[in-house]
Amino acid sequence: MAKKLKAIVTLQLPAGKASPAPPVGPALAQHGINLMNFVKEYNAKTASRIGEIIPAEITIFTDGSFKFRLKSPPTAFLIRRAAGVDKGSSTPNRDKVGKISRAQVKEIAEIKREDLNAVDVEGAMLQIAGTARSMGIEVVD
Amino acid sequence: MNSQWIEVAIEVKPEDADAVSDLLQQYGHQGVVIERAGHFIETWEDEIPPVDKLEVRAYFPADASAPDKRQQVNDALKYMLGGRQVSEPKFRVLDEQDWAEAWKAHYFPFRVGRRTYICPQWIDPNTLPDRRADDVLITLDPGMAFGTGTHPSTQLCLVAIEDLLEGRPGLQVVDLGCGSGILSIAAAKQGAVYVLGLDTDEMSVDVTLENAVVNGVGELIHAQHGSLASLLHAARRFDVALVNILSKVIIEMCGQGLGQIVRPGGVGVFGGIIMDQVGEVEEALRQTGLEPYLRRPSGEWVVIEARRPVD
Repeated sequence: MAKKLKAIVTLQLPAGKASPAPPVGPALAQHGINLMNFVKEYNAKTASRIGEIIPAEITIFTDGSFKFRLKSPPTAFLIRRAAGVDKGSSTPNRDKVGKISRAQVKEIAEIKREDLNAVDVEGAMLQIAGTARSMGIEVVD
Repeated sequence: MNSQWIEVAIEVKPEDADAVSDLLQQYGHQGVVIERAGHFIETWEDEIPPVDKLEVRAYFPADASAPDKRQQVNDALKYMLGGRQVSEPKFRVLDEQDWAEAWKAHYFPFRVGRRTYICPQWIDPNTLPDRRADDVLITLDPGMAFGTGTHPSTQLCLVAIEDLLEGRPGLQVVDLGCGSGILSIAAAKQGAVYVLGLDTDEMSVDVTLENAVVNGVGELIHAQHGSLASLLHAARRFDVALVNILSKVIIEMCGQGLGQIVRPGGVGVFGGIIMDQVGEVEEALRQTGLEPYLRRPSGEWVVIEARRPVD
């Protein structure tokens, strides 16, 4: 049965470490969500992936109920992890901060494929490579 | 605890949301929020219109470092985003109280099990129309600690406490991961002669002690900062062990000797377990010398009860 939506909120949080503090508190309390329930369930579902950023897409209904699904880690996080760098370049055109291989790009594309609009892995790989370049991370063979 | 936070909000096109959120991850406290600009949708679930603009938000404490962080966010946006069309970042100061109060407004008195009645502290229980003489009334200010009583796992634990303690006064109980103290209070109010509440979060210990006093069982509940290790070190054993945490933590604690805190013939109540994790948790419980004998399901959550055999 369809329900009327109040909001769709995506929280990008460290796996297993959600708490009622910001950003969860202000993001969910304004919609009347039982944020403790969300926090506990999010931590339960992501506890085995500590160290990753796991987005949760929360669909909030007008009757106060909500549901959420976990999504794949953000592309930029996966690229930074693959390149072994903490952050991207502030001047990506001039300064490169790291490298990732095509194989790593493909690996990330496989992880992200469900969440990207690409029709196939090759299309997803093009998007991933573009994001890497915009972060000052080179894609090498 | 910070009393105020700075919120930074940036409107972006959907294709730029990833880049902006990645940037804000570096400055924000524990992650970022991405929401449809304008917030409220008011449409049917199966008729969601395409997104044309998103708002990315992050929060950092309004402390001495806030002006520097604000400048850093502004600078980083300017450099990293180049030609992308994003709005100027909007900053505003947010009282922590704002959202804590918003949550309270959605918290109502409710019944659990046969006679447990949970009532927020800010509501007078004498005004409850369906109050009965034999109710186990628990008044609670959950604050920022876990255990509001609305989570299915906590409710299952409350039912387990009713079943295990009824007609058996004088039991000694440990509540590992006591949170708001809701389970400790339920046990103390149903005849437990001694309840030890432990939590690794100092704030939870304070909240448990405050809630115990408010509920008139302050003398029975002894809450302190601690974990399984401190119990094992002191070789403490209990008639009932309440462990409403998470599967992963329970399994880890089983490997550290969790079963030893239950006296022979005593019972452990284990919550925070998702249905598909039941088998793994039960196996870990067996490995630590406990015999699972009951599953209490509610939705996708399960509470497992396990007994320690008499030596």
